[in-house]
Amino acid sequence: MTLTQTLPTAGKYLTFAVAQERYSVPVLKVREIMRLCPVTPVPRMPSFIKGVINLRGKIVPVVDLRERFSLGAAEDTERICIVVVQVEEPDGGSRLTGMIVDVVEEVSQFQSDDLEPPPDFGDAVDARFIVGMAKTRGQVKTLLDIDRLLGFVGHIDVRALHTRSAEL
Amino acid sequence: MADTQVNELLQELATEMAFLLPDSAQGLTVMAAALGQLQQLPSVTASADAMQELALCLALCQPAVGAGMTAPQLEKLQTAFERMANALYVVQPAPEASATAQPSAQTQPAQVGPVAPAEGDSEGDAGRFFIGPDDDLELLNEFCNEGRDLLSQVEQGVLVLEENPRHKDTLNQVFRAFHTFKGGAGFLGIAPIQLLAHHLESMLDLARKDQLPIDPTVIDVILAGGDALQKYVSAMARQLAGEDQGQAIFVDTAELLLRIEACLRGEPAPVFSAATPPPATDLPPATAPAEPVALPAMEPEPQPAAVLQRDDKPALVMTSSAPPAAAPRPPPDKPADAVKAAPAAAAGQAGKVAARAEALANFVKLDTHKLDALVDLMGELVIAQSMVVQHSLVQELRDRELDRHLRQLSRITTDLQRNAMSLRMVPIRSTFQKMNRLVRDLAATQHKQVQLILSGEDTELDRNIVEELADPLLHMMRNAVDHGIESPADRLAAGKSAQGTIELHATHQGGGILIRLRDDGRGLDTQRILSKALQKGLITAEDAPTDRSIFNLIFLPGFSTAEAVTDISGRGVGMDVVRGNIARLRGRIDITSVLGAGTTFEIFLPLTLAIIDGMLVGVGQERFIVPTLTIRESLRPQPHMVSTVQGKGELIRVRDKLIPLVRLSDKLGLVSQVRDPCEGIVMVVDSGVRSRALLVDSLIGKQEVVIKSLGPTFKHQQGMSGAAILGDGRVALIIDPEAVSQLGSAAEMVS
Repeated sequence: MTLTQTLPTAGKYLTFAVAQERYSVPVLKVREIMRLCPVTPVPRMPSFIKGVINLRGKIVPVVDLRERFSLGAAEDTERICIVVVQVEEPDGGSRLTGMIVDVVEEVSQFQSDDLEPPPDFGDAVDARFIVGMAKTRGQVKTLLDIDRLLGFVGHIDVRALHTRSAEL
Repeated sequence: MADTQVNELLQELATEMAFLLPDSAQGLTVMAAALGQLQQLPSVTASADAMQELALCLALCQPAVGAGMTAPQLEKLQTAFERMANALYVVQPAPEASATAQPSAQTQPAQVGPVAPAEGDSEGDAGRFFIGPDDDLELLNEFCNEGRDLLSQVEQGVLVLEENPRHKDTLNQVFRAFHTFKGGAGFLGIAPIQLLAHHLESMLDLARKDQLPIDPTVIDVILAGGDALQKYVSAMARQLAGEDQGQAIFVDTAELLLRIEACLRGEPAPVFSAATPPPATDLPPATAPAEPVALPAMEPEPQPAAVLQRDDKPALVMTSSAPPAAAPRPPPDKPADAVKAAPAAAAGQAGKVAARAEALANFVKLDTHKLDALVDLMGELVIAQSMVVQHSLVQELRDRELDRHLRQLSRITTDLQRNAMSLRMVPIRSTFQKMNRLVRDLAATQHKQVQLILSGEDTELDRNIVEELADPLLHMMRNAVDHGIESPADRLAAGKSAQGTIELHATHQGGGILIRLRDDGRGLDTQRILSKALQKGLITAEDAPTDRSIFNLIFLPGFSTAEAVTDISGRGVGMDVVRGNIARLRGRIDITSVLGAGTTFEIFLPLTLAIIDGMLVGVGQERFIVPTLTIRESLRPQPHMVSTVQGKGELIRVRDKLIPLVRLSDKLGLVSQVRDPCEGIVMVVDSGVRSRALLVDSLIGKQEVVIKSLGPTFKHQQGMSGAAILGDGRVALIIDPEAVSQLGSAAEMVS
């Protein structure tokens, strides 16, 4: 597998939480953060694809990260947000996709010292969506490869990942 | 390289020359300077002819700097310049400016062009060049795009010239088009194109100066030239798109060049026995007369009489330029050819020509993404505006002035939206123009006399539709000429005029557009169609179809095959493809025909693909849009109408027809309160060939919506053809009734 070649780069990252975990994506990928609005479901799609929303005249698909990671429903629904990111297609195009997250936390600068390549999960499929890990102020954040995460249609189980990253 | 310089200078001079005006000093300074530079170059001094003309040019130019020259002087200058340019083009070893162009035959004797260059002729160009890795692909691409525009200008110009050979503006325009072509090719160093364009330009220049009458021969040569350039451009575009890379781009222009030269010398065009270059509109082989290849050897069948006989294999000795053998060569000042419109009221004709020449005016090119973004934003503006206007606080204010302002705001936003929508609309003219050319070429190859009458070319519709419509229309037009219109002899025998008439008419009708294609040919033979359909098992003997449904049989896939219907309709690619194309544009097509009197096709299309008229329906908690065009009727079924067939599902009897019931909630995996069909609404939709009854919970209303794509995430999604944003800003999905009825139930999918 040729997945771990891209090392995470230093820069500004947006951090959000899904369940107990914190994830970060490069700020430059983020187009918009909005309150959860009514999502029109699209029938006959995998459950993690919640449906579509109207983003200023554009139809944007919305992915529920909790569903994507096979986690249960959120208890605290007050601060649920949709983070709209720009996903690069393998063919060179790009499209917008929304991710439903529990809460958006902060934008912070990650130095290259804070960053680490993804831990070796062995055969865990989960690793393919992870660019690396960031450790700042005692917290571990998972850097997501959203191009793969939102481009890949399939099932991910991050519970194994959680136990592993807790050991770090 | 000195020769590059010569080229560039000539280019520059030719451009200046094209814009020189009598009694105006504009451009003369530049000309004089460039001529002066030219005089210094060794490759110019080497040619005595060129030097002589150059001196003449200078003598004319220098005194005029700052003062301008009279019209006769200007003419002299142009002649001298052309002669000089010709002399220099001959001197040059063709494509020196290019790193890419293949050296011409002179430097590469091993060239294997199919036509050997004529003896003693300096244009031994094999018409071959390469696109290499070092080339500026962006520039080449730009050249191709521009080239296409120019060629369509040429083609439209030629059509004007056919009717009015002396239309000065059009002559100038065609001249300039070739000139720009030459300039572009010269800049990129594509010698074969440059040479051809130069020849064509010289020819047009003579015509511009009234030294060469525009007769059918010249028109044919111009068209052939346009075709050759077109082939170059398409070949380049293909390579730029990544196909057949590294291959030589070759178009056989040797013969064409000789023909142009003949025209330039004022001689009748030489007759070549080789098969002529096929007409631009790549006709399927079946269109060509049955055995075109063997013909040159054959004795030319003499005379109209022979040709006028009913013959499916017209024995023809088509030379590329000669007018159809059946038509005696008209006197040069009265060009008439087979397709030429009947000499209508001369005044009206002149007005039409002027209008058409005018229509060749400029327009702005725009990225369609920008247009789409504009339309998106307009839609959002309308939603935002209605949210403000309908906001409860605003409603409570009940202020007169505010009311007025809000109404004004609504009016402006609606107008703006309509305007933004209309930006996508273009006149159908361009598609219609292609027909002109097609009919002209087809009639000539088939020795038929056909008059094409176009009307309503200014009717506007969505750009995409105009483009998509071209293919089906071309196909139907071919059928009309091929199979509809009889040969002149047959027509006379049937008591009709020898000249057949095809009318192509576009008009707005009921919120859409109607395109009518009518010919006065032999019409459809219901008996033959019927027996053919029986034979193919498309219908059974018990069916007693009406005339109308018999005509519709020709749209069935498998009906029209080459051997079956040569003189009824279609060949190979059948009318089923035409109907498919039109259905994809959400339109429909009807036929009426009277045996012996002609056939009429009527195509109804929506004005735009961007908006549909939709029925908003409720299913469970969700709202969906069903395209109104597909709904035949909506009703609330009575208990006696519903029946269940074991193993086949539910059926609804509507007007004595049993229609399968499709529960949308099941197909879409939604929870619906309505289990008994009698509590819901049934919509009878025509999907493809069969009718279905879609069961929904409720009808909410009818509205026009802007269709949006669901995007790549949902590309595997079936059953939805898109999405639309409703008045409250929320998204509703648009149902594709055909696809949705073919889905299995959602419950099955999950399990």
